[in-house]
Amino acid sequence: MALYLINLPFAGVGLDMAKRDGDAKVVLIEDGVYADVSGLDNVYAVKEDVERRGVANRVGGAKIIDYDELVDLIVDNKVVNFA
Amino acid sequence: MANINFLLTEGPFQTEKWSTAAQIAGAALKKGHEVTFFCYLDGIYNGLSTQEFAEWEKVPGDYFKELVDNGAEIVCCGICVNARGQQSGKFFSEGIKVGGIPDWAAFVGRADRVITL
Amino acid sequence: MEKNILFMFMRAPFGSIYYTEGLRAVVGMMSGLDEHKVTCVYMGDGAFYTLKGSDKSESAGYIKTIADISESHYYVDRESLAQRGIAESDIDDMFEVISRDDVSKLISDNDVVYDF
Repeated sequence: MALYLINLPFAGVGLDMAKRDGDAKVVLIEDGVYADVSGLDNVYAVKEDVERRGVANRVGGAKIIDYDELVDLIVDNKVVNFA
Repeated sequence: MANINFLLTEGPFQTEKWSTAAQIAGAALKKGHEVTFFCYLDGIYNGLSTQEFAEWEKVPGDYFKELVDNGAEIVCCGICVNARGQQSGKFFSEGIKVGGIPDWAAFVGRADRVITL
Repeated sequence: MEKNILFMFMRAPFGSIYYTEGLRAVVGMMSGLDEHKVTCVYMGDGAFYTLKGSDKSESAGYIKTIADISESHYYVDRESLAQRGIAESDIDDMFEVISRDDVSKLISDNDVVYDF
């Protein structure tokens, strides 16, 4: 399983690569929470980054996670950096 | 327990990379994971102990000092340090080391996970 | 422990130093005691580096050193070229054009995946 760590400005390519990977999990960090993740399952977004930007209702079905949960995801999956 | 290496290429204040890195690393250390950092390019400025910003209780350098105190190993690229006038890291917090890409390559060799910020 | 490392060059050359400092990093990764194996792929605005006319004098030393250490591959993503209106005849011979599905395979085949 691979964890795609996504930030702007690489979100376009990064999310496209995640879509081609059948086992992808996606984590949106920093400005990455502004990215359009429609068509993707298994999306997570960092709580602090979402709340500060006021986009809680714009990140679709993304699961909101804190840094503890992000560490668990990092440990459990190979990280593909687009951050 | 896992070993996580961070590559940090941006400096303090200007972008929030330093903060994201410090928070993920802090959470990882609390969970008992091993954390190493290679600070490359402007990332080396995060090691400075001489940062001042009155409006903040803690400056970025304090967070990185704390990571070292809690067991993280932080090495800054020496070429980047001297290129930026930081004279072999003379103003770095205690425990933050100056090294080179071979140190980073060794960190990657030991790492279970690698994060770039 | 030796690892297989993919460097994805995502940033346009010259506006920032990543395009050449990334190659310095590649040299270091390959030269260490672990002798990591490195593959490079140019994607997104990184694809501009592959243009024949783009000045490679600052990175030529690293490219030569990389070639001296080991067989090296420099790939460029076909879709990134197309999106930027770059014809395959406009790029330097050192780059091999691959599909985005091939890039996806590189991502899954390598142990470590860096964006630069």
